[in-house]
Amino acid sequence: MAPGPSSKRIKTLSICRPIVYGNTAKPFDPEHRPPNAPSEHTHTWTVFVRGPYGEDVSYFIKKVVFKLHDTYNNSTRSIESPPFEVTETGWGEFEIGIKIFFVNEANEKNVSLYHHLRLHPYGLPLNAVPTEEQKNVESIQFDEVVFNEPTEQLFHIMTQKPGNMVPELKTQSVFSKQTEREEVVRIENGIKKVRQEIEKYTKKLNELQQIKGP
Amino acid sequence: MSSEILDVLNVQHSGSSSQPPKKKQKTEQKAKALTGMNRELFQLLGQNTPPVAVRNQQKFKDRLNALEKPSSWTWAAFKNNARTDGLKLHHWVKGSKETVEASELPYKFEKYNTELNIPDFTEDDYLTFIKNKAVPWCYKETRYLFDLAKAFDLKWIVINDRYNYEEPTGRSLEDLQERFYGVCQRILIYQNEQEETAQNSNLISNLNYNKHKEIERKKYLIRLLERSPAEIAEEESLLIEAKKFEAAAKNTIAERAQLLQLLDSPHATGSINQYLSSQGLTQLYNQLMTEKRKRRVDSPAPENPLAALNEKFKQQHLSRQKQLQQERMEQHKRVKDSPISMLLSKNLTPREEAAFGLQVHAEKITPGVFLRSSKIPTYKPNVQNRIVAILNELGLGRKPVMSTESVVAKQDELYKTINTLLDLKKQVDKLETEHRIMK
Repeated sequence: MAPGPSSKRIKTLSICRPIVYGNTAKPFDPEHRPPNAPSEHTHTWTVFVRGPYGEDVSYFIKKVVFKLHDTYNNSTRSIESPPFEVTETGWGEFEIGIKIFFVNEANEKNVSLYHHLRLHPYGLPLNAVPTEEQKNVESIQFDEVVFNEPTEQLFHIMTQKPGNMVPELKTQSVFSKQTEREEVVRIENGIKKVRQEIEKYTKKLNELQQIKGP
Repeated sequence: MSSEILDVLNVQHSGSSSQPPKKKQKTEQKAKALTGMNRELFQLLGQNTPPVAVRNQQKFKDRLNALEKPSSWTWAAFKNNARTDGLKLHHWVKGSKETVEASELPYKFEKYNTELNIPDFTEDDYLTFIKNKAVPWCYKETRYLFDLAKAFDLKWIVINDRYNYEEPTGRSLEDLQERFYGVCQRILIYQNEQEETAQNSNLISNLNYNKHKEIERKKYLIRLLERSPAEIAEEESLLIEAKKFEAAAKNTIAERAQLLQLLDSPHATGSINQYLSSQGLTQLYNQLMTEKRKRRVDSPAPENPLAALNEKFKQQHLSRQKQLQQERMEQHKRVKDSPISMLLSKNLTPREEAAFGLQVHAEKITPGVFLRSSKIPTYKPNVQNRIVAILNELGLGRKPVMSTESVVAKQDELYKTINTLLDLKKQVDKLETEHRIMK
């Protein structure tokens, strides 16, 4: 780690970058089974960490370590250069541990998170036969990496170009400002409903207390 | 008995039914062990065995077998000198007849028949020096009082109780005392005058009886006796308080004295008498002058303190200016170097700041890296499960799809409101169950 004034932190400043992590999966094509896949495997899947719009994230992410299920050969996969992803075949879903390591200049510890590997379409009614398109499963999570009080060096790197651009409309990307706004509205509606419930229960409580009082 | 209770309480008999036979066996075994009692009588006892075991052997006191010869006692007559009628009575005295007759001791309890030495007077005396028209007492009554006083050995409560003069006078105890002591004093004074020896002067002054004082004293005593426990407690606490105050006051006085001593000019160790004369004064002057000269030898620089101070200030001012200049220079340099200032000098619009993902916080933040979604709060497992259930009801996911700052903040708020809702529900449930129980 480079010592000296460069590792000095900038007070009261935070800088964040969006990332997405998740997996895509698709069942084997019956005619073109991967030659080296074990017989019980049914899907090909890819787990990844990347920028939400396919942009490069290696300027602040040094490496990503994926911890696969123990039954896989060499279950800890360390990916040290983009694209940070692992493609495998399998038959079952499991939790993948993901550790993100940052560039040396950041002088930060790694961040770990979990992703549940999805192979089968979800949110469908039972007994529904998924279409071909639905069989291509995607399970992607949007998140932001926040550097509180970044080092001056990291700050320098991060401000080379705007890295936090989020497209306006949904049609441009799944993760857009529109999505964000909708999400906020949805949660706000939820809060409103909960507040109504609270009011109802407060009234009830008051009534009960009044009965109890005398 | 127990079975009845069980019946009353509607408890099944089955559990206890096995016990009574056991008990019976026990008592029978005990009964066999008993001996020395009539069989017929014992059969009468039946199951109601007496609570206390009957002692089968009676013990008498051991026979006295003293070997010593009994001491001799004699039935002897004795004379009680305290009696005036010369009645002869007998009593048992230890010792043989001869020894008892030889040593005729005075009766043991004679000595307790004492009489108080109360001054006495005759009717003539009364008329000559006691009679006082200002006092509503006649000779007869005074005589009656003195007789009573003698009879009851000045036990005033008894005297007051038995005081029953011919005509009801309604005299109080204090009245009686006043009269009695007053008359006694007069008699003593008269006797002194007669004999011209002042042997009783001490006694005379002691006989000054102040009725009002006595009444007051008794009132106080009665009041003291009639205090309620609360009053006593209050008094005690007040006493303690007072003691505390006193101690505090003493402390402050001592402290003040110390302080004053510190503030005071040092006390002169010797007396100043020797310097009061003009000769002494010149001597003192000379002494001081020599001391001054000595000191001058030690520090020869004739310093003007004000000038020295000014010099110092000037220097300080100069160095300070230099420092300030240096600081300014450094600051300038730093501004040029720093990327932040470079960036900040560009005057970013909020939109641009967002594009860089920059945010300036008003307060201090903990340094380090984290994922935005990790700021969504978590609760205890059972609470968390309920929250998730409510989230499902609302059609929301446990985790938002897009964990940006505003979304996470909203999510946090949502969690908190759900938590309060849960608490509220719990309270309502509690009250409802209480009501159900009360009904």
